[in-house]
Amino acid sequence: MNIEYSRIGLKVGLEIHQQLDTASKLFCSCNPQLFKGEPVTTFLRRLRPTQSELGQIDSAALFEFQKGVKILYEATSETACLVEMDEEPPHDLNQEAVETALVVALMIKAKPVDEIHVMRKTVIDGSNTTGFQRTCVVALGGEININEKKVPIQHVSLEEDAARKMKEEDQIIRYRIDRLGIPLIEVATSPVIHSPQEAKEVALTIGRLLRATRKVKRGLGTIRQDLNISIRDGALIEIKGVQKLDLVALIVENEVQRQLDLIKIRDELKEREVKARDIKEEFVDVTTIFKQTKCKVIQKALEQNKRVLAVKLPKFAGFLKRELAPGMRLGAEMAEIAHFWGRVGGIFHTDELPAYGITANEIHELAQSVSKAPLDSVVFVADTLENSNNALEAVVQRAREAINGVPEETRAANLDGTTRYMRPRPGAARMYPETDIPPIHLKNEYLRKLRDHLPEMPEQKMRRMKKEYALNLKLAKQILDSEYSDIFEIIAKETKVSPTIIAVTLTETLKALRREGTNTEKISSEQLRELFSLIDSVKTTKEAIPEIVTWLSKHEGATATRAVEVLELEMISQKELERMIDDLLEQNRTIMKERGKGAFGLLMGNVMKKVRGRAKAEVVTRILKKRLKEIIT
Amino acid sequence: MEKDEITVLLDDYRKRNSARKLCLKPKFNEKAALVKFHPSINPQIIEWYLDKGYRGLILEGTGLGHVGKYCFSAIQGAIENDMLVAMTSQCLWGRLGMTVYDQGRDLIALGVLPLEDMLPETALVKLMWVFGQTTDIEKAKKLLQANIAHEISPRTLYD
Repeated sequence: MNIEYSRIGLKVGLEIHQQLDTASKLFCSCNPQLFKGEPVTTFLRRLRPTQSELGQIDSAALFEFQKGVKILYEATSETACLVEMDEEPPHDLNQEAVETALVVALMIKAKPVDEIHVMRKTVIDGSNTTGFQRTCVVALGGEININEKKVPIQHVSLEEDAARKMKEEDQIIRYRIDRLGIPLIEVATSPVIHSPQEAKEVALTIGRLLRATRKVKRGLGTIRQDLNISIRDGALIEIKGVQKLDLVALIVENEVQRQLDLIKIRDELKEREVKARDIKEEFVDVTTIFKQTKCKVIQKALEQNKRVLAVKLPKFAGFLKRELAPGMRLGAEMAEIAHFWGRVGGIFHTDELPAYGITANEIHELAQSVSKAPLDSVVFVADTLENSNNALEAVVQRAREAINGVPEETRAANLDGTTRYMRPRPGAARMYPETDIPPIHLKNEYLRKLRDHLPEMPEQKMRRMKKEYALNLKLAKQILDSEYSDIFEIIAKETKVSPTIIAVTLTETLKALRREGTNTEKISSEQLRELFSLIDSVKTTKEAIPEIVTWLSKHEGATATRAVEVLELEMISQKELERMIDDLLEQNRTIMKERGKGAFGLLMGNVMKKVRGRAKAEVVTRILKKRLKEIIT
Repeated sequence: MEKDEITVLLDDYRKRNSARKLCLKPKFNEKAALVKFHPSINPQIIEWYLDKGYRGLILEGTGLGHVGKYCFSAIQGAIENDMLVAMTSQCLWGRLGMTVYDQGRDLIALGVLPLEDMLPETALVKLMWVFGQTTDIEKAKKLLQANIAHEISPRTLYD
């Protein structure tokens, strides 16, 4: 579907969060790495609502507390100390992280603050052991240029990353605190982006700027983009945790579509004359209807003495199953909200029935028990009485919101470009000062020094790479956006191998190998440098690169020399090559007779296949042409 | 040690550098003292040390590194007379956190050096050694706060 974004009043703001590659975490000296395998220590905590320093109690925290949620934290001694456990006050703010943030700020001409004030932002999902996330604004203002347009930057900040959720089972949520405290830089733009494509370009440009500092982490999960999206008549929706740049445009498209369709549903509900007060919190216990049900989910719930509660949504028939954007339906949104507030596994609604083993007869009885009219919809859940009540209250609330169109909320990005309900949008007053850390004064002298030593700007670097290494624009862009731009320059300087070949290897070849399943992240810079020095000294050829790289990816720490030996990819001597060519010509006498010089292509292909990259193509060509000429004449 | 096996307990164990040349620095200066803060302590103790020509004082404070306000003027007097005053914690496995409460921030403003999790006794002996190496108070401060042989651990672990 083609949408004219300029006509629907699309406004997008980006918040980019990028993990920094510092020696230690933001508020302690722990190693900022994730651990694999089993935790060494676990500890169990409960969320308890207490008054904040401002005297408020967070209603969401209170709600979680009443539900009796417990949080199990997993830790190892390398990646967590008492600071992450919230058993010790935070140490000083990591100077290396502050400096990196300042460098980014100065690169985009933002104005550093006079004093850095660390703040606490209330977070009640358990992802922070403290119940808040520490964050501080480092600079304000600034701008980036995208295709001649200036995109204003609101602020550059530092934040501590949150613990990562591992599992959620019944009353216990598991978090790993290795990620907690890893420094994140946040760059937030003004909401001046007006199309999905532009959103992607802004994200790309900021990503390049951050990488120019050489102080950012690489790989999936190290960068997360939050999108603030609104359209006219819609609502401000915050979408959190977009991990891939490629998804930015798609997510904006999907969100616009979702909001447009919710607005459409609003209009249709208006036509059906549905009023908020018509949607009543009248929950009917319909457990007896399902006593003999074939539906496995309900069967299992009833075995555990749970109840089935139903609620009628007047004149909602058809809306719950309607697709908003690809893969997203109003019914699914209600299920997500019901899960959030009621911890139920899912909801059933009559729009999608009969299905899941629920029979027409059961639906009929269900309809009768809530006096459903043909245009009504019925939603029901099977869980404990308390959970079911909470879930249906949330469903009723969401249905009422549908009458007004798009409810403001925070959503989470899925890997396929869809989004899901995450939580209501938090109130503005979530921030208060971190009282354990004194303000940090930024001295002019220090800022001047930083300003004098800013890294090369990405556009500048691209122009230079194009010129200095005679790369074409596409290749220069690719190498700049890859994680290999530094190593590219090192190799190009220390060997005489053509920079284009180095660049192609580090971008396209590695990409192709990744697609085939080779774990190219295992290849170290040292191995790459050695590989090219072998090519440089004609110990092997560029044709052998894919095989060598694949072997190295499976043999961590091995040398490229060893790879060449094991794979028998040493260069073939001239003599041996001549013998091989002679043998081949002998075998193909008839073809040569038939085709004469025209047999060259076929023979060349055969030789190259046989030498498997162990001879330079130009040498093979020369010998083959010479021999062919000799034989034919 | 178990059956000829050595278990290294430090996570940042530094191996002996065989290329390094041995250089003995055995000088100590005994004009350093250790004062444990407790309610009812008489701040004149600090003044007494100053009068007797002591050059450095390790305080063993409560909790995150505090002493009662009534000791502040004595501490200030000592610092103004070029005495090096540093803080340690009397808590077992304790670490200072002198920016958490005003008391700590005020002490830092007076010029008291926080020594993280260095043991008070270690700090005392180290201070004696430091003044054996230098008479310059600024150099002494740097040396006292430098982590030379694991007397400071940057991280407190839970086990």
